[in-house]
Amino acid sequence: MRTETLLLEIGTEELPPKSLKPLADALTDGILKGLKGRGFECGEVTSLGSPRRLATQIRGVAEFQADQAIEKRGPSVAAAYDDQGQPTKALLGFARSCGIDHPEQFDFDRLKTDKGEWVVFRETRPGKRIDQEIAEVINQSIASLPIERPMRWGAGRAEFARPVHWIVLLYGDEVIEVDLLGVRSGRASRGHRFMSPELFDLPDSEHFSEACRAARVIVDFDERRQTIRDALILQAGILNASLTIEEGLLDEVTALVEWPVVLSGHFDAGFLEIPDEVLISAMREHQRYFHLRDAAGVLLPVFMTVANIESTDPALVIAGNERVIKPRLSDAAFFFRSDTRTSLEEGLPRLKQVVFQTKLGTYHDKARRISVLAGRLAGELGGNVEQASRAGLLCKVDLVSDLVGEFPDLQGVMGGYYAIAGGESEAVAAAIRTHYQPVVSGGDIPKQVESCCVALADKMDTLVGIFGIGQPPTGSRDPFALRRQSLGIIRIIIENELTLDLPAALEAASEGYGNHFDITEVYPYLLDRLTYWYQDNGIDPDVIQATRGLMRGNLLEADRRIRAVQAFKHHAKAANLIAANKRVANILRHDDALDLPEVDPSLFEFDAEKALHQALDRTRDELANAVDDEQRLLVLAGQQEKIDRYFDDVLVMAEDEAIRRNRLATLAGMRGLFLQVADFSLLQ
Amino acid sequence: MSSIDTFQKLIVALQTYWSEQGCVLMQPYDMEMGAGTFHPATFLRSIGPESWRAAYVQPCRRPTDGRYGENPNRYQYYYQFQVVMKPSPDDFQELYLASLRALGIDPLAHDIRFVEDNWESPTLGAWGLGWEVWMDGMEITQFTYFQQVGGLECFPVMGEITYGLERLALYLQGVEDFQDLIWTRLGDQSVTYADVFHQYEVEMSSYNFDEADVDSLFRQFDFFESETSRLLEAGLPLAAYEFVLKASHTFNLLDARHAISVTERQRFILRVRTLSRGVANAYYESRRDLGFPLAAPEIKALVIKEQVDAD
Repeated sequence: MRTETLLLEIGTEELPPKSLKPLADALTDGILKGLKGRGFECGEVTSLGSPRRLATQIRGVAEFQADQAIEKRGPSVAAAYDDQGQPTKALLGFARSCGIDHPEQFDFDRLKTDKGEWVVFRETRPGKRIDQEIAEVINQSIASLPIERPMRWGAGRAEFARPVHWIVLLYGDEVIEVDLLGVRSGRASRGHRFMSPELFDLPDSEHFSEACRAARVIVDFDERRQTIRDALILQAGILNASLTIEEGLLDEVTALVEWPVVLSGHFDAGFLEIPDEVLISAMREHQRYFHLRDAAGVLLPVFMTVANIESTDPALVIAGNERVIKPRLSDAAFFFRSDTRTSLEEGLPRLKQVVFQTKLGTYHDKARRISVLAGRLAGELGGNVEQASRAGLLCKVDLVSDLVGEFPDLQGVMGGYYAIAGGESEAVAAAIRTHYQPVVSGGDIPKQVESCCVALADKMDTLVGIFGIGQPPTGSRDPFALRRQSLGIIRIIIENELTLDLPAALEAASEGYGNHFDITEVYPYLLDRLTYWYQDNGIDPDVIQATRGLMRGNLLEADRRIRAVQAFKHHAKAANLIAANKRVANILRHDDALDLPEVDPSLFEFDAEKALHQALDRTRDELANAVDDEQRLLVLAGQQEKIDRYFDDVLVMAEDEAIRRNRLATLAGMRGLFLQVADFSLLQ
Repeated sequence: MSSIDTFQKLIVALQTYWSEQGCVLMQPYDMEMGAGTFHPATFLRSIGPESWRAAYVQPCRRPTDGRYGENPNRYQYYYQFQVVMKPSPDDFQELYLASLRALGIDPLAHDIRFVEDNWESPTLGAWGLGWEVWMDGMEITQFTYFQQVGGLECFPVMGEITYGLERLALYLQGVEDFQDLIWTRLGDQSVTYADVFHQYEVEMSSYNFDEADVDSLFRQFDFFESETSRLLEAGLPLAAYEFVLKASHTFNLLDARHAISVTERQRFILRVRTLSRGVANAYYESRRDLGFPLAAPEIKALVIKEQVDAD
């Protein structure tokens, strides 16, 4: 069958940058699914997008749907014809629904089932041509686009992410005319808003990207992204500066330009006395600038911006950008200076006006709870109690500073600076600075003990409080980011090798709320998060299952065991031990295995029984003396032959009840030893 | 340099351009407001099915933005040039870009971009989608398609263009500081923006941040609120709206004085929003009673039919 490339372009006013790529991908997916669902064969798909267009290019689209076999069941034969063999009303009606005008002349197929015989109409409908089906496919795809805030414009009722101005719909070189979003499709597209403002006709669906390029639009998102990346690196090289490209910013900038041109400019070096983070935030959040450092990592008074035009006068664009950044930085400097005029301690009472959660009080309340808890944790972990409590008390004060009001992502970081400015110790400042960490999955975590205590206290306080008022995360609803906070608790403890009794620490957090809350769900929730975290880190789910029930509150100990068991799965004897444990676990599920007696060696009949029984005592001692889980696992692995021999030689479920229960008791003793390390029967 | 080399020539050029696009040239509303959007020619005219095009300068007061005249372009009192068109025309963006050309701005030399910036006014119960327009990285215009105003869905949609006049003038005059802007000149004599406004900026920053009498402002707010409600009951939405403006500005002053706690802040916003909604509804009904005299016939018919169907 003939196939052609299908092209749909929706031309719009400038789309929201964050949704550009998701919308283009969703449009492509929807159309591909729609076409396939209707039996059109499709080849390779490309999803394209730039600020003023979303586009989909699907190669190898069949001209016609596959033929469709139709089978309709009508009335029963008995009800379809009367005594004279003439069609009844029932059959006439059915015939009409099948488009048959003269049922008396039509030879219906019949279908025999065990319930009787039925009249059947069978037909092979030739597939429809693409131009008859495509409008509905596109409409359905558009209707299911994940547009965050659809809008209307003019006096129309159409809704889209931004006003729509043109639609291109081509099958090969043929225009398929449809009415979409208040616009009739054609072959006329538009290029760059300023450098190529005229409408241009696309000759066919195949050479869309090339035609756009000629009209000064790089229509492929990934290509545009790479173009910008290359140009940024090149420009940084020319400036002899070092560049870290933040991927999120690169994505956003890619969605803001159709024809990227990288330019660089300078700002007054005097601004470098403001903290780096503030300068970088001001450049990134307000202006989408990339920042640069010298070889020693010192921030340079230089920025790079990505323009959307090959300006006839680039110096003008640079001068303009330099003029913009100046008041932005002046404002940041103004805020920084005015914020440092008051110490964190002086600012503390203002937290009484900031609500943390309606039922959980203000940030002032929270700060006091964090302070107490952080001090307690520091005591337990051998840190400086006074510094941890002090940092806990002051860690939220920067929320009421002007600068954090302007740059919320600098919370904590600014608190650190204000702490130093106000004469607090470096340890207190560091603990304030890092207490929100990790702020992204896999991000940095605090290292110093006092910092860990404040970070843990803040997170545990939130976790216990939100669970306490009965609002744990559900589905995608997690307004207090409890998942991330939990992961933070886990990582801070394990990666810093802190020996902490977690359930006891949660109890302590609950004391901060006057012990009013039922927090029984909090620790299991943390263990659930732990399970997911391990899965992401290459630990098999069965290893976690096998060890979860044995976890006491010490995550560090649990972590060592989990890693030991994971490694042990590859031990030569592991398979046999797992098999034996499963067998033992199954046998011990038997009713006879309840209330087992002490093992009585006088009831032994076989050497294998004696051997295993003796091994039990020895193993118990060896386990007790082992220095770590690796060694314990080796001790257990050493029992493999004796266990295998036991099963080979001994019939556990003996006729005689006393003997049977004695044998079960022996096995139970053995299993008890294994369970000190992990439930091997749950391993695969 | 552009031929638009004074602040007042900029205003005249924009008025001339938009006048040619069929806009009613209005004058600034003679009351304190935080943005040109609060002018009845925008807020009230965006409600209901009636067509409307207007352009005007509006001085804006944002007490918290004061910097005692020390920041090169952050002032608590500054000018917006506001254009509204309803229904928003198909070539709305092009009309805007042509206005820049009319000011002597060459879009092939500058980097002009529409950067997503959605607008929401909690006190007006209004939101819209659009952009801030960047020229070489500086926001020079706010561009919005209203979707809801005073809690009412906008149909047809009003499009709003808000130029930041001082920022535009910085470009046109090639200076870096508001204070150095030339307001007007005659021969080699010139009057600067600082000559006109600097003392005012310093004094008003002091008033807003340090001097405004908090207790009286709280009492005034309560009065403006009750007066709005009373006037709405009296069937006078336009008069009531003026008291919403007063209440809104009073709230902004209290905010600048840090007199309103974060929790209270939300409550105050809700109070103003309730007033705005009341005015919006009353205004809609008053226009309906008049038969929506400025509506296009087919849109009026559609809206009336939909209302009947809904009832």
